[in-house]
Parts: sequence; structure tokens; C-alpha cells
Amino acid sequence: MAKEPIKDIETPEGPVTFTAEHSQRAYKLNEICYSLKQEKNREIFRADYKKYIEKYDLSEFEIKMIENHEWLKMVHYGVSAYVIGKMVDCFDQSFVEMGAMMRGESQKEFVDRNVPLIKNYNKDEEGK
Amino acid sequence: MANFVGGICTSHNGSLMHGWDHQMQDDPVWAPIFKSYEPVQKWIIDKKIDVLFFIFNDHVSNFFFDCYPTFAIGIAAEYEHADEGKGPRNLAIPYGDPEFSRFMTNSLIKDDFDLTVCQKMKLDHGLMGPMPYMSDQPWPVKFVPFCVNVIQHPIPSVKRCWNLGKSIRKAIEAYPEDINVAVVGTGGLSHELQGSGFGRIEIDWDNEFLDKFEYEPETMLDWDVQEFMDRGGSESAETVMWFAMRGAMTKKVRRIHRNYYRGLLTGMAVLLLEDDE
Repeated sequence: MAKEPIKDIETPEGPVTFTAEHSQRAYKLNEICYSLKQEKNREIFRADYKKYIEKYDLSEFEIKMIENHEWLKMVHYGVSAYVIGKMVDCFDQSFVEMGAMMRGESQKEFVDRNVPLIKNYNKDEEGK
Repeated sequence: MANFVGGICTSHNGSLMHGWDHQMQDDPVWAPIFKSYEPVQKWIIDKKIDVLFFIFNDHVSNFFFDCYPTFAIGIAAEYEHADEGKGPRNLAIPYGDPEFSRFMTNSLIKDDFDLTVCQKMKLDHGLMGPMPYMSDQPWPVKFVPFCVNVIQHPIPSVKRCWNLGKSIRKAIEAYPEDINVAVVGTGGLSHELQGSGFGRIEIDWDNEFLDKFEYEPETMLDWDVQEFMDRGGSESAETVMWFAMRGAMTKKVRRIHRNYYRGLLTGMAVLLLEDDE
């Protein structure tokens, strides 16, 4: 019996563990992101992503997540952050911006809170 | 007979690619990171390392979830660089050692590690993130790339990786050629990239982990992967790969070098150990 297509999902606080179950549920979205490892696909996606994703026969819910850049919802649904990284790049967003959005922050807010971006915490030479 | 010389563990955070590709060695924020790998560079040359047995994970750059191997070994004479969004990186060609790779494959499978055997592999930042910091180019070493699934759960346990390290050590020492081999384990330390806790770093736990890892790794062998994720964030599950390096070594080790930095998204560590028994 065919399952009802998923219309929306919750995004509870805390980490998402990417499992084989996630991977199966969001297979097509993962596949689209993975295809962007090729330059020729990135060019087509950048030019017209809506057309690019047509052939994947996504559900309305899946298409909306891409359109609305709902990265937090995507990881909860089952797309690996590593492959979302390939998609955000094609939307001219950085991986850090993607993550800040998952936190509900802007990239600037996230980065400013973490200055200096690299800091020594060696036990023997802390603060250097 | 081949000689096991020592082990290196390092983080492989994606920003290492950025730091290298933008040649940030004179940038005041980045300069200490470049410097932190100098003892490793020197060690690889001084010890005349011929081959790095390199345990890392692919970040869906080479393998996809249509068929995602738990353990995969490269047996090629030459590897390619992965395209992680900006085209393949401009780094020296990584050469393999097919004869040694095949020997390792035979030996590990005989030891019940059922490997996926790869004649082609594109190496991403799991290996080539830290590598340009660890050595000048062209690379003075050959590579045996060994991928572990630490992305799609369930993933191998700490103990499984530890035992893998033991079998790797045994296999290296049974190899009939006189070559010098070091084992590299990558990943970690604390980071969380998926969910509302994106950017979580646990500085105190990372330093505690480095102590435990060096002096009493066996106290963590029965830990569930989840324990590491709870303490260091969901992506610190990668730390299991460090145990494959540590399992290859003696119980007591001599520390040649260690450091730890908090990066923007990752607790970044470099550790260089030799046997001390």
C-alpha cells in the first residue's frame, strides 16, 4: 500500500543523527545534492534549479524545502549536512551560513560570537 | 620486513581546505595552524616514511548512499582529487602502493575485516584537508587510503576500529618489503553540524579526550558511539577512526607532538605518537 506523502515534519531542538532510515527517506534530495559534485551539473542547477530538479519527481514538501532554503528541516527529514553543503554552495551561501540558519541566526551573528575564529587551547600553552 | 614507525591523528575539518587553498600561512589567525603541523612534517622526513596508511572518511564526495561501504581500501597506483564544489583541488598527485595495498587487503580480510576494494578513489578533505599541512609537495610518501563510514549510522564501534588497528599493525609487520609505514587516523574532535546545535564545540572534553586517548585508551573501548556524540557533538562520532590508529600502537606511547585549537566549527587537534614499549 502506498504511503501518504509526507507534508511536513517537526524540527526539535538538538542534534540529528543521520541514519540509513533518513538516507532512504530523503534519497532523492540526497541524490540531487550529490549530483552537484560535477561542475556541469552545478552550472545547470545555478542557471535554473527548478528545471534541474524536475526530473527527480520530488514531492511538494521536498520542493518547498529547497525553494525556502529550509536546511534545518532538510537534515531532520534525512538529507546529510555534507551534501546540503553542495547545494548551498550553488545558492551562493556558505556552509557556515547554512549552519547559522539551522540555529536561527545570521552568519554574522554566528561568526561574531565565535571570534577569534581559531584559538589555542593547548593545555601547556593556553592563550598563545 | 616493513617497519611500523608511529601514528598520527589529526582533525580533517573542511576549513583546512580553505586555509590551504587561500594560502593563509601568513594570516595571524591561521599561522598557528600551519605551524602546529611542522613537527609532523619534520617527523615524516626524518623517519623516512614511505607509506601513510590513511584512515579517514569520505564526505559523500566519492561514495554515495546508493552503496555506502563500511570499510573501503584503495589499491590504486594513483588517486584523484575530489571536486568539493570548486573543481578538483590544485594539489600534487597522490600515488599509491598497489602491492602493499593488496597485501594489506589480503591480510585484513583474512582477519575478518570484510573490505570493499577500490581501484579508483577520489580523495576529499577527509584526507587532503590535513595532508598539505603535514608535508610539502610533491608528496614524499605513498598513500593507502582507507575509508570508514562514520556518516550514515549505524557506524563501526570504537572496539571494532581498535581491533582493526591491531590487524593493521600485524599486517604491516608481515609485509616482506623493507618500507617505513605510519598509520594516520583522522576526524574529530568535537563538532556538531546537523541540527539546532550547529557549531557546538566542547573544549574541556576534547582536552580530556586527548589525555585519555594517549594514556588510557582502553577505558573508552566499550563506549557506545553515542557516548562520544553526547560529549562532543553529533559529528564527533568520527573519533572512532582515531582508535584504529591507537589500536595499531603499544599500550604505552611516547608523545612527539600534540596541540589543540578551537576552530570556528571544530575542535582541531594534531597528535603524533611513537611506541614506547
